[in-house]
Amino acid sequence: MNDLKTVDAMQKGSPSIWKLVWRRFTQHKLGLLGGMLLIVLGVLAVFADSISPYQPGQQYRSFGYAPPTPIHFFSEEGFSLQPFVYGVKRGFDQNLGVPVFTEDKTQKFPIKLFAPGDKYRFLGLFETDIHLFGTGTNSKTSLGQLFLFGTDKFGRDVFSRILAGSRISLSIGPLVILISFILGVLFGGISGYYGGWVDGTIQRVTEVTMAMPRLALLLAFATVIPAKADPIVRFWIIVLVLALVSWAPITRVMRGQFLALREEDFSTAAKALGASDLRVILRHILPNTTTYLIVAASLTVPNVLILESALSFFSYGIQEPLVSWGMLMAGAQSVFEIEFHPWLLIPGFFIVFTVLAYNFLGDALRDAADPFTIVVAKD
Amino acid sequence: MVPALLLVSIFAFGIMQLQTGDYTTRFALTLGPQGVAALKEKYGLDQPVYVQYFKWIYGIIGRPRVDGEFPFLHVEAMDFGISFQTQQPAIEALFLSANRLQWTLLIVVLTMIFTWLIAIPIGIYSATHKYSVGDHVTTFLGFLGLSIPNFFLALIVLWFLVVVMKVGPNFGLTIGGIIDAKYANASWLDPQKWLNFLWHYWPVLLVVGAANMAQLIRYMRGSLLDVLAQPYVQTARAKGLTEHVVIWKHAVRNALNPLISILGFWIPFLFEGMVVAAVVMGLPVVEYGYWTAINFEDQYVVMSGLLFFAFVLFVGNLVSDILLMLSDPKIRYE
Repeated sequence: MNDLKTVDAMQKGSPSIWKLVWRRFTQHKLGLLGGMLLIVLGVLAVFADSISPYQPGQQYRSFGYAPPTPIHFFSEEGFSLQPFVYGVKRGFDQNLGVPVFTEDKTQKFPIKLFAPGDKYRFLGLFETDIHLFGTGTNSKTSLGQLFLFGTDKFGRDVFSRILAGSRISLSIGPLVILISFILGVLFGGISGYYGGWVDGTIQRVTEVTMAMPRLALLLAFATVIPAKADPIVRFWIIVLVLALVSWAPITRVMRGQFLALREEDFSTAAKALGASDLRVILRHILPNTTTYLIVAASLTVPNVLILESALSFFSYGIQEPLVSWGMLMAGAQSVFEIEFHPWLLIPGFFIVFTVLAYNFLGDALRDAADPFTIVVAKD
Repeated sequence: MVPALLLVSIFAFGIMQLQTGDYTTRFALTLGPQGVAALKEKYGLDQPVYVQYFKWIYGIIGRPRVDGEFPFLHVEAMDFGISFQTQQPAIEALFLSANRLQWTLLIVVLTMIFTWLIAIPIGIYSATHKYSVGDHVTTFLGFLGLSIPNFFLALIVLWFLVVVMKVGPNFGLTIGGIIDAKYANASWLDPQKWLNFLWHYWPVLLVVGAANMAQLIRYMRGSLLDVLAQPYVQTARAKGLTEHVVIWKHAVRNALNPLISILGFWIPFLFEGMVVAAVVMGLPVVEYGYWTAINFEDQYVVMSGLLFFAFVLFVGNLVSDILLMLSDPKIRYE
């Protein structure tokens, strides 16, 4: 089969490099799986408002620390295809000091598709109250609520908050990478292309930033952000600071690439033909570094996500009313919370799955980035 | 190393200068107005930023001064500044309370040893049994180890101990900390103390070491596979040596070389794990001192911490360079 393909390719002229890359990429099943998982998470993030049954900030105070609502298909009347939830009664365990929720079997609330709920703006376009699913009883006093992953201290739906948090948790990595790339390509390029004292200075600076543990540096920076800063401003400062601790390794590799590529025949030839430095860099050197950049991105993005989560977990990162996965777990730091409200740990699994997906994708991209190496047959 | 550390000190000082507030007011009660004035004079707190910086560096190198008295050059003890929170010297606030430095060294060294002892054999197994079930399981676990943020791992371990094993009521053991109070002053010759320490230590090993272990297994597998494809391994096999000798004497020794060079890279990652473990499990380590300093905006302690971590990293890189030179005769430093 493969031989036939090769012959075919030879007859038609060789396939383009991107075709080869894509072919090699699709052979990597785990990489494909990772890519698909990321696409699904991306779709969830974009349509978070519509998919989640509640708004992330909406408080249902009487439901504080409610465990995940059980979904039923069977009742005393037998099986029903439409799942439903029971109303709940809230009690209090005096010995343990925690609220206890019991199901009230007399009240049944069917789960509806496209149920009305909290009001929100659909993709910022128009106002609506239709959610993908829910019990349709969004009044705060109704006992039939659907909290898929339970609620936090203030009775906010953890599932809805995870979806809302995915917007920040998924976008922070690419944003940070974009900024680090701009810095890395700029400084690494200058450093490698021109050399001399500029190179020396830039290299010393990268060494220094890499000499301090990233988390130590992040925490030090985070204390500098004024406590009263607007959450959006704070978000952008966090992005910048994360970029500041991520740019150095990229700069170093870009320097190496520029050093090597500047000596290549095609660069010398272009120069001999009278091309300017800028033209040599933009037309002949940069395009040759794209594969490295793509691979580096897929490996750095998960690191940024983990760092941001850790920072937010320590309450030095994203702040209310913005939500990120790490921040959602900030409330679950004590043994007491972990023992009695373990559902507060669910956001962590989203971090793990996302990072895992990125790592699979990165592995596949690294294999695919160089389609000319021969895959050794399985022995 | 010294110029690099100077750059780090400028950097650390620069960040902490962005903070606002007058910290000397906290001393007003204990030291009185004269004491506060002396403190301001010593560290130049009411003077321009560059004076403060030079006074800080001057203190670190021990305030050397030359005069006519023998031995002409006088140096005091190194002074890294003062902790605004505990009112001790900054370095004491970071290192000495609750024997932090000793615990940190013990935990870091043990973690390094255990990581290598566990990861290297697994890596070798994985490489010599390529594409076997065991290899696939290790690869997957390796991916998982790399993908779990260590604070989440710490929470999961706590959950496992508290909810699944019900450690408190079932075993009467405590969670968190590094040793129970009743053993804190016991002799290390007492096996009970070691048992108690190891009980508190294994979750720390998991939280601090998991990512490094995963990475090390991956590197070891890749490196050994590279070496096994070398002609001299074929030659060794052709000579009729047993597989055991081929793997352990010819291949593994050479495959270890590239791993030594990444030893230095680990220190920052160890730090990240240590901060998380320290905060979630309440360990008496240097990183915990750094964390409290961050919480109290204790500038001099944070600055000393950053300087200390950079120093450790530079020393780590130096040690891994030397080890590499000793283990691989092909490498020469001019």
